[in-house]
Amino acid sequence: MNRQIDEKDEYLLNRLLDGDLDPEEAEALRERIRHEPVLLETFESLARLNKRLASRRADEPAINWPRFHDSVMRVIETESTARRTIRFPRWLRIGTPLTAAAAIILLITVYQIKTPESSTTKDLTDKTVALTSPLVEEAGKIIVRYHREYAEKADNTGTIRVSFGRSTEVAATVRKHEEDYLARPPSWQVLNVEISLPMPPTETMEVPPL
Amino acid sequence: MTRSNRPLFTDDAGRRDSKLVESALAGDQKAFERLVEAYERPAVATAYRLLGNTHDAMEVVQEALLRAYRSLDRLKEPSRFGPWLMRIVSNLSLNARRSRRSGTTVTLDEQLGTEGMVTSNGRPVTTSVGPSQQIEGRELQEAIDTILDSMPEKQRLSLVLFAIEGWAQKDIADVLECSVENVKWNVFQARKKLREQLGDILLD
Repeated sequence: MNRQIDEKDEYLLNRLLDGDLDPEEAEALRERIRHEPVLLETFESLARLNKRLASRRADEPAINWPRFHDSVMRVIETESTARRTIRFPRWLRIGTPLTAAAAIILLITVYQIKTPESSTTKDLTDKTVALTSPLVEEAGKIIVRYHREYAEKADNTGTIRVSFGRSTEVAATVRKHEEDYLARPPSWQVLNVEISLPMPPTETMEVPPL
Repeated sequence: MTRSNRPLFTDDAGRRDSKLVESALAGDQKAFERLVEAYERPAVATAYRLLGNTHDAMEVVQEALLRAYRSLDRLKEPSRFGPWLMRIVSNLSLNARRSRRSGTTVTLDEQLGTEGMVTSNGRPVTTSVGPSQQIEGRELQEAIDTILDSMPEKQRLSLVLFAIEGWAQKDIADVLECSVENVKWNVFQARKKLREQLGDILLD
């Protein structure tokens, strides 16, 4: 067992064991095994090890497969319903170095308007993402648009749900925007926000309440 | 003496997966379900080998399938769904090992009960090993596991998938994104370490 074997020979024995040698090579090695005890000893040891390892194949996870399958599909189903999947053409999915390097451009158009008393609200959730089609594909980038109506106070606890985004960068950008918005005098209202994303949206993310 | 491991990612499987992926991307959830059916068992078996217990393996595979579903549109070669999924499973399993290092192996009976259950190959679960065999087997298994734990990940994965799970070398190369020669070398190195460190135990 402890007799030294050349590493090259040991590798050949492994290949013989795995059936990787062509017939001539295999026969030549078998002939050597017959005459060289160290090769025989190593080969037998390898074969025993292989047998031990293969015997572990019998120890398989015991699973109620139909139940597991149903559980997986329930998760997939939930995911499928929960998110809005938007498919983009292949060219748009390729994260070229240029787009990958591109910073998120935030264009905020701020309009100063007179606050109509009737439109005040304490709930941002219902009023924030109001566009039915907030996503637009334009020349290699995704434009996300949303608008909000005037909120009377900055103590909102609603969750702003944005149906776009791929990273925390986007969440942070939106959050920053919301903070900026809430810091403005109540007579100011952000009507449109455009965010250019270098990659397509793939999942729904939530911006935590301010 | 020689043994040919069964191929998992065959050309036929690739053609089937390609169609299923395209259908799933077009919104056909049943198509994705067929992909789940095709790979859930080998995926759980692989995760089980890497994690050592059934519960973690099921959890990892569920997460892997969910990630695959979410990222399906990023799969450049739909025919390569199988290797891609198994790569996710392997990576998640290795991550889970690193973070959890689940020290206790929950026996299969303890985990779920065996009544009416079948293994991933469809065989009924049996626990017919005698007490002395169990002790010897467990000691050797622990020794092997300890040595396997100390190996580089690719070496460990190569050996586990090839020698225990019985995968074809090419399939392992696909999952590990390396050459078949590299897989052979990793298996060789892993066996060498096991032989050297197990020493005379192997003679029993």
